[in-house]
Amino acid sequence: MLELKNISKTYTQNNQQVEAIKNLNLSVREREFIALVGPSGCGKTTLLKIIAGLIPATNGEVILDGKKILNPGKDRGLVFQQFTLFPWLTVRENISFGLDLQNLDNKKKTELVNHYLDVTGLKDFAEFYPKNLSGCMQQRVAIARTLANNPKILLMDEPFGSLDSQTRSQMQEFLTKLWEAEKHTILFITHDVQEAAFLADTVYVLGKRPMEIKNMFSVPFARPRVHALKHTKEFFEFENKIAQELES
Amino acid sequence: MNLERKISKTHYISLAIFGLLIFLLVWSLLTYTGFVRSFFLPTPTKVLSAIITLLTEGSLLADIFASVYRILLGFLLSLVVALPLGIALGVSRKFEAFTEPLIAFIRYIPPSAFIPLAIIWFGIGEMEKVVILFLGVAPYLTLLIADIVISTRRELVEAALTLGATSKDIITKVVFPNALPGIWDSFRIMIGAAWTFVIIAEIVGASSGLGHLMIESQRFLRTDNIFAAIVVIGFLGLATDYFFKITYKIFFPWTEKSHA
Repeated sequence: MLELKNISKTYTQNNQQVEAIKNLNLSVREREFIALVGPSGCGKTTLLKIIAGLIPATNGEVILDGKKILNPGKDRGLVFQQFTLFPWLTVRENISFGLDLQNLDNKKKTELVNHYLDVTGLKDFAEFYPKNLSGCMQQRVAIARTLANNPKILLMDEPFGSLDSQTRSQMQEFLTKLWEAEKHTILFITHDVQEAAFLADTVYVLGKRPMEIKNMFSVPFARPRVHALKHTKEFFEFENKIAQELES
Repeated sequence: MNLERKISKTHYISLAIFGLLIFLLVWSLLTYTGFVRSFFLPTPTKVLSAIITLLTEGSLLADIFASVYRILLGFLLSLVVALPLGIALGVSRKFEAFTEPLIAFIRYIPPSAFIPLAIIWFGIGEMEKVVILFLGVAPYLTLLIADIVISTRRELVEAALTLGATSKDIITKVVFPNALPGIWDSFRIMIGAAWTFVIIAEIVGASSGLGHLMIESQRFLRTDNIFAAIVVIGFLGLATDYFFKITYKIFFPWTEKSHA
């Protein structure tokens, strides 16, 4: 469904050519939850922005459903690490932002927004402004806003990276439940091995400078997954295997 | 940046009144004791009675109206030009390259430098005042708005793009609403500056307005009337400031700044 072919990215920094990504190939199937784990600064965000169409690749192509990606578009939703809610819009209006750009009739729009307020547990906060929400709630709104737009693929750039470890863990469970209920196609990047192993079907381990795929792991744990899974011996061993690959 | 802890509203107001009282006390001490001659610095009561006399028998109301009218007209004209120009400057590097040198050039010329020319071109009527105000306000306002627009967070624009926004949507639905509180603040600053320009223009040549009142009073050595005009301008400034503070809270309840 999503295909990355020989993606390379070089940029100039202090008059030096830096090779951030080199000949990266990856394909994502429909309804697959993929996690890319890599060390900080390995160019994960750059890769996601290339897929989103926000920055061009130096070489190679991104193909979504047979079509080459050149520009950003609503078929690829992106959830950022930083808080990106529009502060002048309420939670409801934020979720509705993408829908307001299309010619949808109001009834359909309200239905969709209400649905996502519901699944993200934000019903009681619909009329709040972002400044009155906690970081974890803001990220839930950001996810709802992206999903309401019904993208073909959801790109997530360390969406829980700025949360503390406890809310982080809550949000991971929230996302797993959401995925198990709605089965979106998700490409999730993180530097947290545990997060990747808990959430994804497939985990790719990335190396640094230039970024390349070092290895791939299929996650063996059955769904639905709950928090307790993280404390099992099997999970711990699997997590260690990935961590070792990451450090090698 | 506020280094102290928050203080309560009553605490704030009482401090403000206390500050004013000290100012009045020093003024009273200097004048009622005869330490400073009344010709140079009239007593508070004398200034107050000058204000009342000017209001009831003189032209003060008409002068206030004339100055405020000029400011509003000059400011509105500046706004009509500066808003689209500032936004265009903020979002387009090409447009910035095209116009910035010219705007920066005009900005560094004090508007008072245009007064002689403006009088030759337009006489000493309303047109001349509005032109001076426009030359003083519009370039600054344009650059202030451009700066606010440029500081739009990159991620907000990127988020909107991935939600399907076009360039036009980015300007009308992201950049503009995001910049509005800052723009509103810049209005407040520029209206303050507009007072400077209108008073100068009225002092140089006018037949009405608070600046005209002051220069006339100077000719007749009426220090009390000069002070009356100064106090009135001060209070008008205070009222303007208050207006913008209140409306900011009403219009932009979503900003971090506006927790009432």
